[in-house]
Amino acid sequence: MRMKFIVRVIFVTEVLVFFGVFAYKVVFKIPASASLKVVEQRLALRAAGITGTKQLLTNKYLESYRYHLGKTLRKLDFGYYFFANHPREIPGEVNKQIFLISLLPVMILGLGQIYGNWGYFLGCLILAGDLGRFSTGLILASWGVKRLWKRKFWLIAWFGLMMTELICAKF
Amino acid sequence: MRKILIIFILGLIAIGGLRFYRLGSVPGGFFRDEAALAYNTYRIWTTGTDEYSIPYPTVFRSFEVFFLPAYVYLSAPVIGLLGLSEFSGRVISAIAGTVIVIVIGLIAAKLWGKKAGIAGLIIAGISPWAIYYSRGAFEGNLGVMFFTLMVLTWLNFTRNKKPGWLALSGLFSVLAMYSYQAERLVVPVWILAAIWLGRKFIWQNKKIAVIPAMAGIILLIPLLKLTLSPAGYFRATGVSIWKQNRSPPGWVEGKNNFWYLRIRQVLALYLSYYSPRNLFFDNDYNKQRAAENYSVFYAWMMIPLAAGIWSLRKPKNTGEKLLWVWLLAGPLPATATADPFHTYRALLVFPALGLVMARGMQIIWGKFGKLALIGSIIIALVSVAGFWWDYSAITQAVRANEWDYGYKRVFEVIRAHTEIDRWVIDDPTTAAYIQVLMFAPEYRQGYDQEIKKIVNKNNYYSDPNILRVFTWDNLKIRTISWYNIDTSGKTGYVAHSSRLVDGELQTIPGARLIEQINYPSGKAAFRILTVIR
Repeated sequence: MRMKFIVRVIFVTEVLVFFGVFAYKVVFKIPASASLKVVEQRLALRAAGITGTKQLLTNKYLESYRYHLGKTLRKLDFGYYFFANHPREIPGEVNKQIFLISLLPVMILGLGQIYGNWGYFLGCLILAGDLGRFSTGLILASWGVKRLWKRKFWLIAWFGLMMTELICAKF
Repeated sequence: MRKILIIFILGLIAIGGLRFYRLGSVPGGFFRDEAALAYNTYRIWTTGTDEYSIPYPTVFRSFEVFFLPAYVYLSAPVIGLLGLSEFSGRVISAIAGTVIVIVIGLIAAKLWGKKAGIAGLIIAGISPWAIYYSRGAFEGNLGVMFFTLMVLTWLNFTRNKKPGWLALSGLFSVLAMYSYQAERLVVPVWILAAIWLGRKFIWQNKKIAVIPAMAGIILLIPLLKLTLSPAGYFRATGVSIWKQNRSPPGWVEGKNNFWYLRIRQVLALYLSYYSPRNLFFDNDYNKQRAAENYSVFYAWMMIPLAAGIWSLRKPKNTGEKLLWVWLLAGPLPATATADPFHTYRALLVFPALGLVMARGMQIIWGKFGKLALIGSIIIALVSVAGFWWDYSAITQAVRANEWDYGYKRVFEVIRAHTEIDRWVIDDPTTAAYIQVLMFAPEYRQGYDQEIKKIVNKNNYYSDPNILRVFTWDNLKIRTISWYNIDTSGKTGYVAHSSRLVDGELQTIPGARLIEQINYPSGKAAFRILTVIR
């Protein structure tokens, strides 16, 4: 019962911290690109005959929100973790594959285990940045493998797939 | 009951309004694919032939693209009644978009009850993809309408065993396959899954299933016959990932495994249609297929999607299983092409995702009560107002160039300048001919006479190469070399701003600007000039 309460407190705190940090960034960390975009859009709107208070609907806070939302959502992309950013490769950067593709099915299987294991999951998420995301991925994968453990055929099949991928990726 | 009916009617008016309000002018411009659909429809209605003078084709062609006929034949009475215009060309897509919303609501209600139906109506009614693709002449949107109708009528058939529903389902499946290329792949997959999942039920009712099945196959014969000709496969193979001589990303000969990288590429393309980043933030690569600042769904829709997927992880009945089939098969046609996150080719997957969200929304409403219901309605209203602003004002101001804006005015200028003997349109792709036919009726007869000399029934379906007229009457469509031009002042030149860039006009000796046509943003769209030295 006490554990459940602690997990809830951690969960609420994490959500509040996440939204607090996000709101802080939106208001106080307005990127130059957002301001520039607003200027361009307002000029275009003025040329199209849309002037006055209507132009306020295009503003730097909204653009800043979109910028930071985009930055957050870019980490919620299969391409980022499994496919070296394909099909949205970042030009001028080395686009690296983070997880083996064969980990994807076991991670999906592992998602089903979150419900009874909120503590571990939130514990991973609390770690900042990439470390948090990678440990979350690995915990999901290990839960997925745990589920496969009882079904030997699928476990062997998955293991074979992973080994094949390792060999193919190398050679 | 009366209250619900009033809310439903008001909702329907709002949903229809989002699709029909200023349909002819928003989006500004008329894209060449839209012009091809509208002009061919006009030809079918007035002459019974298409732009190549082929009578009632099974598959139409414009440029080097073959497109399926349902949109054209369904649009014909509309264009016949309203005349050829941007509005009349888009009406069928707007009607289809409105019907899709209602059908999604009905499917959701059939699967999970009334509240899910209302959630389905809200989600499909306000989703950016649904509004965007309803406001352009997109035959894919018509395909989605027939597909959703096929699913609804199939569900009705499995519930009450009336053969009429099965016949309708069969008819809609055939119409979907006559509407858009993607449906030619997804519809058979879905039908096979439906037959497999309902095999016992179908076997028990085999007598009533035989006639609709036979009728469906007979109706598909014209299309099946064409499948082995370029008209049937050229579009699909032309954009296929295997046809394009491009290696998979990251491949270095002798250093890594080609096939591993190819499989990785295909998987990446397939999964990109489920990526939250693409669905809720980054939109289609092609700016013509996207509104500024919006993706296919709103960011907050991630919450009902997650709740819906959680609820459907163990499908409870055949309907839910078939929804999974729809969801998983939807992106297959788009995956087979190398283009990344092509929202148009994967259009079928979005209504399925909308249904999952409707289920999620119903669960959230059930868990958090009236507060969640009122909250989600407020969020929906704010979202759709924001989208409408970005779509109708910002997108039109900054993305008009993606919609071939300005051609209508070009031909008004040409018509007004009778002192000019010849006109040259600078267009290396020569696709501008369809805009000429759309907006300049005086050039239609001349084009008609010339194209008949090039195209006949034999090469219409079998020759995938360029079959078109570049010079007719006093008009030429070609690349202009500004060093080799008529300097007598008797030839008028029409140059797109991408071909004659800002400042370049001053470098052409003797150039006299007749008119500069601007985009709504004030930037140049076309420059119409003559040269006198």
